Amino acid sequence: MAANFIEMFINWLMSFEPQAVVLAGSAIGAGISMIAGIGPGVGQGYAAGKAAEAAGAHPETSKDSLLAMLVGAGIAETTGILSLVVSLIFIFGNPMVKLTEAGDPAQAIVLAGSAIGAGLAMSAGVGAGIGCGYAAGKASEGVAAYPENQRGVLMNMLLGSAIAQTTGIFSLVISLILAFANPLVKVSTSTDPGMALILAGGAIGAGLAMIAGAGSGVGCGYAAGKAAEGVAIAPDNQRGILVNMLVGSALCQTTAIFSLVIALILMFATPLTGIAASNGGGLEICLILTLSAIGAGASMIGGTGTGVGCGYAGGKSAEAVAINPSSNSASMMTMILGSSISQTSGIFSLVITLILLYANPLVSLYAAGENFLILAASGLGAGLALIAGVGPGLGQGIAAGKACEVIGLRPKMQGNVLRTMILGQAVAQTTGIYGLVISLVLLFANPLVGLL
Amino acid sequence: MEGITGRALILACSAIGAGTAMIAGIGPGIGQGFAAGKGAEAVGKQPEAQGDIIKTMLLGAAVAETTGIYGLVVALILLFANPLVGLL
Repeated sequence: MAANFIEMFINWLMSFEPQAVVLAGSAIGAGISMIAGIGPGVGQGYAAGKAAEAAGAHPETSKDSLLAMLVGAGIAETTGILSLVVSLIFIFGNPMVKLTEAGDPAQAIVLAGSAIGAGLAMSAGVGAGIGCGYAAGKASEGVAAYPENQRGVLMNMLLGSAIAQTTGIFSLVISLILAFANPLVKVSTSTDPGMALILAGGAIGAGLAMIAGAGSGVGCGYAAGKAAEGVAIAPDNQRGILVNMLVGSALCQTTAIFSLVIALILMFATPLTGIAASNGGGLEICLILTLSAIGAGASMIGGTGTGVGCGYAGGKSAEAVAINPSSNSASMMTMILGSSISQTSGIFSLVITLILLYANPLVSLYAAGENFLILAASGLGAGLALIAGVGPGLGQGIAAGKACEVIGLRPKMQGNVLRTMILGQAVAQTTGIYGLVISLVLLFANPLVGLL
Repeated sequence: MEGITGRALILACSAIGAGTAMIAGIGPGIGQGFAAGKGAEAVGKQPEAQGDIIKTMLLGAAVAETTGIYGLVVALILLFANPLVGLL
């Protein structure tokens, strides 16, 4: 087959009016953005269920539990509405078509990729929707049983839900930058379609990376729900509960912040275009770097599990302190230790992403004459393999949370519990290491190029 | 720009497939972590049964590992003993 599909694809894209390409990308982005609606749906359903259950068990306080449910469900709605707004902007007030009036077809490819990236970033709202809904349900349940502690319960739910919303707001910022102040179009002033492809891939990668924020949204919401529940049962321990929730939420934000940094690098520093230019450009090297950019973003999704897991541990630690305030230091120490281990997957993902962006070994393999298509696909595959990290991150967080729970009940057992937790967490890490190994093989010891 | 041979296409798709196969690792990670949590909980409640608890936890974790290893085996086959190029 002599014809090259990349060249065909680009020529096909450039055969349309530039506005048509941008609008087509916007349509896809507007649709992907709405995936966030899953979160509020699940979360509010959970809250509704818990409130209904509470109204059955405590009919005399059904007004209080209804109020807590509605306030919490209102917050859980946020990311759904933000996504709707972004979609409507792309559909009715598309800011990108104006930029293509000059009629640069290469720029149109960058803008179409940016619209898809903006939509992908917004889809992370799934997490905050589920998390805030969980918090609403737990608050509703707590208020029904202990209406006298309503103030403290609602305060903890609102504070925790606000933290859970940060990742939704990170995503909104990335989307709005891509839509209204797109830094990538300035880089692609030349009409080089290869460079445009790298920049479009970077925008899609930035959107993929932001999906990791979904994990932090769920995790912070879980911690908020457990804190609200704890304050309902033990209002005197509010201080310890709150501190545990905040420490847990901070730990579960790390992977979301890693992802935000990677998205900003892909949008503002665009290291891959420089690599393409210094290697003489051309569509082949540009395809390798485009798929490396998408792989770099996909790799960051591996941090999703860490976000959920650290939030689970934070919530369980807050619960332990509510039941037994004297276990505060033991349980917090367990939570921090267990959550640190759960960060491993997030860090594996970050390392592979940074290798793909700043020390890409595929470029020198291409310079050495290896086949570009295999190298490009290896860049994508190396990133996809790191998604395996979702499991270890989440599982290790569950282990940390369960250890907190039992240490809260029996602080004297701390030594034995921690040993079992760490042993189990080490076993749970294995599949993440398999993913890392496959990724490193694809990048540094690729056996496929030799088979050609 | 040189053309793409069928062999190159198969090998490129094998690279993507090898990476995608590793996503299976999500499951064992979650499951084993859950087992570790329950194990830690049980050791806290009944420290005298620690030996049995850890034995059961590790046995269960080994069973849970299988699908992760299946994913790894497929990825390794695609990378190091690719049968697909031979079928061309």
